[in-house]
Amino acid sequence: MALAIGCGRSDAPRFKLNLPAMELPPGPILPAQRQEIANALTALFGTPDQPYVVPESGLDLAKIKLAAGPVGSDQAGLHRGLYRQHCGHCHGTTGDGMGPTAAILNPYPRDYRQGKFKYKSTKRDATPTHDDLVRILRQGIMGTAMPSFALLAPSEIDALVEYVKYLGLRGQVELSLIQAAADLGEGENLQLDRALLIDEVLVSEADKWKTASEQIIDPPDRPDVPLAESIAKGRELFYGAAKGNCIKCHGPTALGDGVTTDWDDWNKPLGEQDRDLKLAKTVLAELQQQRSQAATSDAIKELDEQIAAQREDIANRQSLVNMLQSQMLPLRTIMPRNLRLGLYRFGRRPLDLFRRVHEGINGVPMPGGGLTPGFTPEEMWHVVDYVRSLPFESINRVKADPKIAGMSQR
Amino acid sequence: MCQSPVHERLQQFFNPPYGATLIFPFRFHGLALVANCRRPSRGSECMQAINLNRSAFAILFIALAFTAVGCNRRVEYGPRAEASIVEEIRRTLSAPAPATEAAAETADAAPVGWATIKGTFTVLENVPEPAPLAQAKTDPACAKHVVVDESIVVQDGALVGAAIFARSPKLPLTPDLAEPTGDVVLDNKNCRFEPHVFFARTGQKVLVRNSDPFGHNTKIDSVANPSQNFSLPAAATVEHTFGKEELQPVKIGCSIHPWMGGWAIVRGNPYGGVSDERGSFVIEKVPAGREIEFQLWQEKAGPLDGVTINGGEVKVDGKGRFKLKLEPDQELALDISVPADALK
Repeated sequence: MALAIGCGRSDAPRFKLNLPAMELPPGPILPAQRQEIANALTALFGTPDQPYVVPESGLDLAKIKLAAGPVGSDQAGLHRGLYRQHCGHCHGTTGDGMGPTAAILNPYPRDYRQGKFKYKSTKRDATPTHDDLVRILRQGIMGTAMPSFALLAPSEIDALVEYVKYLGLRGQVELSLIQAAADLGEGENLQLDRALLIDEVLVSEADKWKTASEQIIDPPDRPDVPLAESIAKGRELFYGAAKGNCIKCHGPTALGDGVTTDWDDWNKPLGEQDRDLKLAKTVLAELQQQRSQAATSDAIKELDEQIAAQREDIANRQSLVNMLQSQMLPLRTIMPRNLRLGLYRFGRRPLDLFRRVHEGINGVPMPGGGLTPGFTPEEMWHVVDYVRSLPFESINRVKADPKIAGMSQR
Repeated sequence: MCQSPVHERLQQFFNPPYGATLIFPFRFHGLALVANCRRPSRGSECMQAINLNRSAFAILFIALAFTAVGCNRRVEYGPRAEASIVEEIRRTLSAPAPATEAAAETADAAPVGWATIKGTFTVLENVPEPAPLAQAKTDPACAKHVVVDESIVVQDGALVGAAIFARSPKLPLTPDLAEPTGDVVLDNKNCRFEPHVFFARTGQKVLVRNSDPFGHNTKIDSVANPSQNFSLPAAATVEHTFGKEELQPVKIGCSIHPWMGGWAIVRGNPYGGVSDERGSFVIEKVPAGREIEFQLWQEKAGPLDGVTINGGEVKVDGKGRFKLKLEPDQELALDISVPADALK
């Protein structure tokens, strides 16, 4: 009873501002401008209970209303509040991938707010198509906590996809406004008018969603070579530094044990600040070392000043890192995929894997081969064939291969 | 078993029909027993009761601690939207946009002439040498190079890699500058980006090259333009162009060597530059006879404020911006003096 009284009745849910982005360079964004951004976002997108869209967004408000709001169903049996029922506990009310269960999941649930999605049929930087998101909802994502929602009615899946786009667009507009606010001169305010909000920001962000279906990667047919031959060629490309260079991250054994020190785009802001803080601490330790060995009083004085400045720098960095840590999930480095599991996030069709090899994966270090000079689609098909054969290739073969066994993990 | 009145109360409280037992499965009647234990022997009823109570209290304590932590954790949401202002914004959004063509026309007016800006960034105080990056040593191919943290590079008092660019939109161009001239080369060399900071105009060709004998990739985290991640085998070159102006400098990285970093200043006009190893830059054919706002930027500092230009002749604001109005054919020298404090 005491607990119930203590926590009290909660307010209507609200969207969270992207505070880490407001705190980091090119910010920090001043409080007055944070208020302006909050006003502008509510004007353009409404609240979790009362969503709103402008026609320029290209979003369907009727679908969004079905997905938004509290969970329940009306007399006709129409379910409402679908997002909160099915998605919110992992992806969060704001779509920031920070719902109550997010921290215990690996990989973390997607943060939609950058409009960046990893698994899709489109070009690397493009948003997914409507059908891509429908497919994700229907089949789930293999090897992650994302389940299949195939039991929902098609209209409900459709509504949820529209709502994911809505949350994505809201986050993209927010990031654009943060950029605009950081670019303001001293004492200037954001002009929350049509010219800025619609013409400059919303239209270009909404276009990314509208034009997604024009950016589907449609590869040429798989070359007509015997599978064994294609696998052998793919293997050469996979291990060779000339084109594929896949072993750099996926490792000589393809177990995903190559470079694992980088971060994905969602973890990177915290990762970089954390790294710079550690670097600053090393510099301080070196300065202290120098001071203990300094001979002249002038040198000591100068070092003392440097040490004081360095301490102040560390204190500032520490408070920023603390702030980020309180607003973000615990930092995780990348985990290049273990290709020997036969477990493919978006699907095991050769076409899906071709698109991964060709475009890379948006938001993570995986680069696309499509722009590497001299890396032909035919060769990428070979890589696909080899990757598909990896779960069935004995690891002893790799260990016995002197060429590969001698490869360092650089 | 002894039954003092206090014990009886306790028993009544912790046993049915009171609700506590529903939440808390341990029955506390053992408490009475514990109170009577003098010297419990192992395995005795007394000891069992003590252990039971100990674990019961431990669980109760942990549960309470969790509740306290759970309530203390505050998720920051940022400021609340103001309903009246939201309504007002929605009203202005549904109204047709006012004509802004008049302003655009004046911006396109022909300038009275062209001028040149030559300048240097100098740092008078001592700045620590760039620290070597320990992470670079973990890579066998890069370990032979000395890879340092290039966020502040000062060579003989010259600040290297500081940027200056015109902020004003829509500036007139001389005919020979109508199209971008020359290519920019961004080289992956010796496990670093060369140059560390570069200036590129929209539409200008950026040749991303790998001069190292091993693979790199170049991840361009642009915001207004499509972001990109090129896989670059040894000796490869790819072509990249930025179609749109970027409000903020663009971060460049290599995922294979995550310590590698660089920056691109992407602007819609050619009036900008990055200081070279002598700290100097030249901006040519700048429109004269009109006020142009310039921005100073440095990796560590971000917008570079707190600097003195020409001994205070040119006023720089808190965002590292200043305005210039040049005479035709003028050759303006900018002596930008950067205190070490500004590089933070």
